[in-house]
Amino acid sequence: MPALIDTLARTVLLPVMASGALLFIAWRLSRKQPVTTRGPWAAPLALVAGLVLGQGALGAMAWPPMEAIHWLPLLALLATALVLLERGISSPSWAKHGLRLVLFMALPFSLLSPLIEHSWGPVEGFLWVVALGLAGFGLALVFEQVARRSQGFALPLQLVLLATGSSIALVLSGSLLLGQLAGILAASIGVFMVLAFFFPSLSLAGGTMTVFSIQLAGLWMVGYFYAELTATIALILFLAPLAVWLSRATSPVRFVPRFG
Amino acid sequence: MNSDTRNLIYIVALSLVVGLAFVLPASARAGEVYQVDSAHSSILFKSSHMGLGNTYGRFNDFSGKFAIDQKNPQNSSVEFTVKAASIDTGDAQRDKHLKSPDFLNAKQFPVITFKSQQAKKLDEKSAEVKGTLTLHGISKTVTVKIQKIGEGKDPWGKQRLGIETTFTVKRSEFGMNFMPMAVGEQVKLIISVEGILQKDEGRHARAD
Repeated sequence: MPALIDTLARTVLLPVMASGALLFIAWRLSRKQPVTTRGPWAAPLALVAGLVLGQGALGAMAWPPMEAIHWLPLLALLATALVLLERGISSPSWAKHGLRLVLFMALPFSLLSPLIEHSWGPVEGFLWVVALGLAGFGLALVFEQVARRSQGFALPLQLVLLATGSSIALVLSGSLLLGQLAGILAASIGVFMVLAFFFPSLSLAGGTMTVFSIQLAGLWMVGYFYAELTATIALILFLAPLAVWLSRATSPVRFVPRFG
Repeated sequence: MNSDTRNLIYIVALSLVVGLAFVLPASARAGEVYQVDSAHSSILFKSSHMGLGNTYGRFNDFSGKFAIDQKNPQNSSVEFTVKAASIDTGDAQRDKHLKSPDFLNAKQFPVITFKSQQAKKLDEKSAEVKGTLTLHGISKTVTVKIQKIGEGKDPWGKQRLGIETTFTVKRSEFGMNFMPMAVGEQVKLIISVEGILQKDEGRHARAD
């Protein structure tokens, strides 16, 4: 199989088929429920299925994790498990925020542990983990808030554009692999964009954005610390979701982000 | 010839042999440690590109030492450390790619090391060395045949010895399996080093 077709099959077709199949099953299982209530459990599962299968097809998974990128599917699965647990157990808002904060602290800690061990030392490592963990947590909060106010294809389209832009930036940073992983993310979330044409009330609120955020933030971190993604590009990518958020803000007071 | 004369000849012969041992070139003495002279050493590699051609490259930053024990060749040893980020294929864009998480992941795994475990003398100019090669965070035992190139004193009176080895590694065995269609699975390494005898360490058998 020519290399280009093989790459497309692994990074686009497979994630799309996996995410699409899972959403189709969810739709068949609960057709009588409105899409808005089906989405919260089916959507994160569909997204993580696309991510894990796509990364597996690229041969970028290992147990135990050897490299930073090997942590990405595990953290996406952990995020999905957390989201599904929240759906099953009623918990106060502070507990949801606390668990997500721990999850987003685990992201830089696991990705950057070789640098903490060999290059930075505990103090610098701690500062990086806290700063990046808070940034990731903030990113997820912003996405979640936007998702709670959005239905239809607009938000998935913006996410596809963001993931595609990240893919291009990561390829330019010197890593085709990271670019392909961001491509898998774009393809997986792209399924929701297509579905939104048929189900205009489709919502990504309630957990999907946590899975998306952890994967996207993780790819940026790996790109910056292990490839040559520049600080400027990383910052621009990080600020892009804030622009989406601010563009929809009606009142700063009413627009305090929180998880559902 | 009576027995006293024979004994005298044996003693003289033995003395000559012992005496020669001290004036022979450096490698004839036991436990000599050589520090790698990176200016006169090279680590080269060759890998297939899409099965159409070969790409050659080198590592520019490395250090190491080797010890040669003629009396007990099994005590000879080799130690090598290579900076992964010093990879140089003559194309900056390709070097950036090779240093990225796609291949060497040089920021996460900054060094490539080789440390011998045992050595066996094959003949006067070659030895077989078994050791641990750590590449991309994965350690594997490899056996390499080391060939002696030559030895002698440089213009500054320092004793030098040159050795060379060629061996092949499968990159997938070291966790580098990205782009299997574009980059060859087998990577051939040619390591040619010149060592300078360390006077103060000359009596220590092992490089470590």
